[in-house]
Amino acid sequence: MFGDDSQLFMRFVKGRWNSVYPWSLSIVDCYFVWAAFSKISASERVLLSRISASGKQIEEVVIANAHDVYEIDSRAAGFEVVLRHDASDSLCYWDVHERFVLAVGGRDFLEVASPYPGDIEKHRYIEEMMHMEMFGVDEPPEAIYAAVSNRFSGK
Amino acid sequence: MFNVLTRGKSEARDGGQLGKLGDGSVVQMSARITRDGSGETSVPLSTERTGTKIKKVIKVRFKEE
Repeated sequence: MFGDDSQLFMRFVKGRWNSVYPWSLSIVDCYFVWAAFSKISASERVLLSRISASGKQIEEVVIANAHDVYEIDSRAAGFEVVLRHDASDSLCYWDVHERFVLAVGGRDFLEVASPYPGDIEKHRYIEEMMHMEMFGVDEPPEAIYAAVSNRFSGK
Repeated sequence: MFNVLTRGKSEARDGGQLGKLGDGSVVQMSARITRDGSGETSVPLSTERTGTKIKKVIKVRFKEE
C-alpha cells in the first residue's frame, strides 16, 4: 500500500495486530481509545508519548478522558502521528494521507479500543470513507482496508 | 502565506507549522508527497463551537502542478 514504508509505520505498525478506524476519529472512537489506554495502564490518567516528524519530535502527553484524545486527533490533520503507551507498546497511529487511524497492540488493548466484530469494523470503515473517492483518493476504501487491516486472531 | 495568516505567531511542529489566527482559530500547515509523486500542502483551520469542545474544521489543500 502506498505510504506503508514511512519510518513511523515501519517501526510501530507493520506486522502487528490492529483495529482500523475511518479518518478522523469520532468522539465515540476517542472514548474507546482512551478506555483502552486506561485499561492497559490501569489508570484513568494515562501518560503517553506523542511521536511525530518521523520520530524526531517526541513529547509526553496525559490523556484523562475522550476529549483529550479528540484534541490529539484534531491536531493530527495532515501529519503522521503515533500516540504510544511505552510500557505496553500499545498505540494509536494517524495516517499522514488522512485515510485511516489504527489502534495497534495486543488483545487486551484492541478488544476495548474496537469492541466490534471484524465485519462491523470493515462495514463502518468503508461506509464512512466512501466520500473520499470524490476528493481524488484513487484507492477505494475496500482496498485501503484490505491493505492495512490486521485483526487480532489469537486466543 | 502562513506568516501572514498568523501574523508571525506560529511555531514549527510535527514537521509542519502550527499557529493561531486573530480570532483564536488554530491553523496548521503540512506538506506531503502524494501517490502520483506530486507535492501537496494541507492547511486546516479549526475553531471550537461556542460552549462545546466540538471542532469545526475548514481545510484548504494546494497541489503542485
